[in-house]
Amino acid sequence: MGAMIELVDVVKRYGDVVACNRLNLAVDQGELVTLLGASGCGKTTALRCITGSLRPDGGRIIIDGRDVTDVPTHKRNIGVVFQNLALFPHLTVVDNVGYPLRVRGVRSAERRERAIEALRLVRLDGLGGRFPRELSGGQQQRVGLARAIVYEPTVILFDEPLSNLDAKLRLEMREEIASLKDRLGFTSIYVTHDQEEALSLSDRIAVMKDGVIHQVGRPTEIYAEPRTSFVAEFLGNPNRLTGVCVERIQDQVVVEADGQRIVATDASGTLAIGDRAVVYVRPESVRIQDGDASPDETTLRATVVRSAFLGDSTEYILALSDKVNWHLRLDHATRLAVGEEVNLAAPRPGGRAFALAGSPVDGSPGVALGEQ
Amino acid sequence: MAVQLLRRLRSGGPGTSSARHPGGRAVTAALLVPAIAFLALFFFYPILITFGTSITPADGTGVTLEEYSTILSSPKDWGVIALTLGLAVGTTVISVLLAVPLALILRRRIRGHQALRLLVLAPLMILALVSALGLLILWDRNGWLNLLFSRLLPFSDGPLQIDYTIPGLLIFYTWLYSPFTILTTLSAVEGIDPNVEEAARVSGAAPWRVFRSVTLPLAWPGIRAGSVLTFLLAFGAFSVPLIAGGNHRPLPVLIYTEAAVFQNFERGSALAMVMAVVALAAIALYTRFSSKPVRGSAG
Amino acid sequence: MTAVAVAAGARIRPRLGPGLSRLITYTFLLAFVLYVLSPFLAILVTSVAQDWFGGRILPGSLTLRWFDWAFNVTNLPGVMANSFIIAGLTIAISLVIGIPTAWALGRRHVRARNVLMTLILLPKTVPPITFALGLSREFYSFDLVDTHLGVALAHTTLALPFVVLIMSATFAGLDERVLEAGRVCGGNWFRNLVHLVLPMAMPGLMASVLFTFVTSFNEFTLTLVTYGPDTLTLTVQTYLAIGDGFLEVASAISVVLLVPSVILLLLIQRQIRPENILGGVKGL
Repeated sequence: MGAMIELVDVVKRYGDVVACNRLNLAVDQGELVTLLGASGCGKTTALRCITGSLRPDGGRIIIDGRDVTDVPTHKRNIGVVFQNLALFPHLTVVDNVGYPLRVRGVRSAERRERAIEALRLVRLDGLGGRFPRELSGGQQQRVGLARAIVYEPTVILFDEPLSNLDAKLRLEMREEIASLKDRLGFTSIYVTHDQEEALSLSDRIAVMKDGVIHQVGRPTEIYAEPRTSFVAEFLGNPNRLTGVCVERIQDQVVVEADGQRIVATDASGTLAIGDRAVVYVRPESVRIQDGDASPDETTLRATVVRSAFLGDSTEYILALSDKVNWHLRLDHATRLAVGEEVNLAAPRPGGRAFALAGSPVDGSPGVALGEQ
Repeated sequence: MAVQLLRRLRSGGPGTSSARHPGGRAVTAALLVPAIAFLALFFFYPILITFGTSITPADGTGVTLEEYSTILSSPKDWGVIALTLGLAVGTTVISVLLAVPLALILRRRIRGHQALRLLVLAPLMILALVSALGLLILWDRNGWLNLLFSRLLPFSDGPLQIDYTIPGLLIFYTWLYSPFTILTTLSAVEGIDPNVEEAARVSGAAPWRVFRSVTLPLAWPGIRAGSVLTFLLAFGAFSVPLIAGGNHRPLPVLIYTEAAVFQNFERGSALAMVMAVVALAAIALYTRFSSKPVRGSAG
Repeated sequence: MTAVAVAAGARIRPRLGPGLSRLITYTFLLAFVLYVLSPFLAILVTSVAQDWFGGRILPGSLTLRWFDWAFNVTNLPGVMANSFIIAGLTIAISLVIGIPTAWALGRRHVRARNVLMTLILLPKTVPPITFALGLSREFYSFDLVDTHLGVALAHTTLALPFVVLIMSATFAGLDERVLEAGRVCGGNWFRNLVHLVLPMAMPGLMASVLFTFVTSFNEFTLTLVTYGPDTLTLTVQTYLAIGDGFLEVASAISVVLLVPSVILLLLIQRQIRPENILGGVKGL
């Protein structure tokens, strides 16, 4: 079974800037793969190469076995949901949704029927006669969705569709998209900078930076086993410790910084004793140690610097040394006072270590190696 | 008195606070008086005079519609009205046909588009008379364009006579008055969200389809606004046909000739009134019947 | 990587479409540029032409005698002075009448605003010839014919709409908060006017002056019916020269006429994007 969407060595340049640098990606049928990254990483450019509004400078784009690199947009038969909706302001909702059908020569009666059905699927019954400007943002977004699914394309692309909606609406629409995907079974590429969106919606995520895909994998994989330091930093809000590798036990390393030691998995696979390394630790894996450490934990000493009450929990900033601060979120069972010295128990291994190059061991981040 | 003013202020509608509108309606009225007086004196009064003159019989007593009946029953006069209308309509149509492709090209911001936009403005900033002179020289029997054409089109016998002809007037009018249409069309076309056209393409519409079903309907209000201006200007064109119309005299020239040259003020005034009515009627009809350029709602 | 992808390699087959459409586009644009510029070129060449008849592309020889004629025989400096004086008067009158009106329409509550706006715009929407006759007769009775003031008043009917349109939009767009801050800081209405309103309204004022100048300087129809020997303007002079058959002299005068217009054109394009000039006229 071949992939439904394939990007093969796709390159796109804007003057001197390489927006897409030999991208390779294969999306299987029924999958939703997200291109995740900050603005300027090239994810939107990549998407527009797939829709056909941009022509890549190199590489091929294959959709459903067909090389569409030279095929104009209107012949690609894909669906797109835009960030700013792009609804036709001069047409009613039902005409908006029916437009792709009209272009394909579908007769008026059938067109209307299918448009109404699509509107029903996105739960917008009864608003067919209105104009886009009369609808709320969320409703408009649903119209955009309906228009993209009405002609049953096998591939649907999402270009940051939820960025312009407020938080509550975003959650609602996320649900909507997920449920539509389950029901209709289309293949899709989703572009966003919001990691929560990416984690919750995707079958797989491709994390991008500066035109390069750092890692592709299932959300759980990417979160728990980032393969580059960029990915490790981008997802979640990890704690960081920069030090020197002092011991190596198979695929784990012991990193020491300012007298503290932590055991971590060697993500780059190449760390040797004496190398500088940065370790990323997920805050939720660290606990306050009362009493002795258990054998599969290491202890770190820290002082409470600040606390912030968040309602259902409290976030504590703890200083491991005068250069390193970690944050920890605790429920109200444990109360710490500012200035208190505590022991933190990190699991063994308790994070991912990456080789560090080009900066002294002082806790400051440097350029991390370990690309895919 | 102050209390009364304040009370008036309170009922002055939204946004009328005494801080924003000190003095209230009295001051507003005072501000507007100069313009109203000026217009009354130098625009409406002349029109009144014109109207009055048009219904004044030769002996100066009473009222008569003789001039109007003469005009309305004269085939020659109807011919003049038709000529004037025809020129205006023709100019407008050609202007729109010129404006749309031009706007679509300029929208893409190719190199030098700034200079091009400036060029579009050029006919507006130059006196119509001067432009007409230039066009006259250009299209002269021995002028550049005829030289060019006679080399390119060997089958034509002799140079084209453009100056002082009706096609010539059409060309001249278009040159002079199309910029209004071009400018508003450009503005309208640039106001269209490119994502909407992209959405149309994604939905499967080929480029021509996108144009017909999305771009054109969305740009139409702007196109229409500019073309109304072009129509009015072409309809009222005076200096151009005066020097380049030869024996063809559209209404404005006829009015001037009758009044200033033949001293027949009554007929001239009547013609002016007829012209005003025809102009207003044409505009009203155009506005009424041009709100939807494409039959149905989606192309 | 699928076999298809490998076989396709890296070479992308060029489309015929883009090349051909580009050719058409550039040809069209070239034609347009020539179409706009050619009358000016024709005038320019004619104004210095000698021995230019019967099918020659360029004149036999160049001469400045037409300019000489224009300056001395037709008294071009005097005529130019008239044009400028009248234009200046028009600007003054238009601003004096137009600014209070624009202030009222732009910032104060006026019940019949739309009606008033339409009325003020009326002189520009009807062809000038319709009221030119009446104006001319009125001027005769008021003894305003052949006076600079008279012609300026005639020009003002056409310039006033511009001023009111532009300035009312400018005034309406003044940031109320800045004015509020001025009042809070203790300024009376006069100080606010000079120190706050004027600077903020400057772009609009400049545009108004520019448009009024162009309107008056280039005005013909109304001038033709209200002028006299003392108020001969460049436009009427050009017409007379054409009428007399002196195309070369007319061209020379036209070149002189063109100079301020071209300068203004360059000035305007810095200030305003051309498409926005007609923004206020969309209501028609």
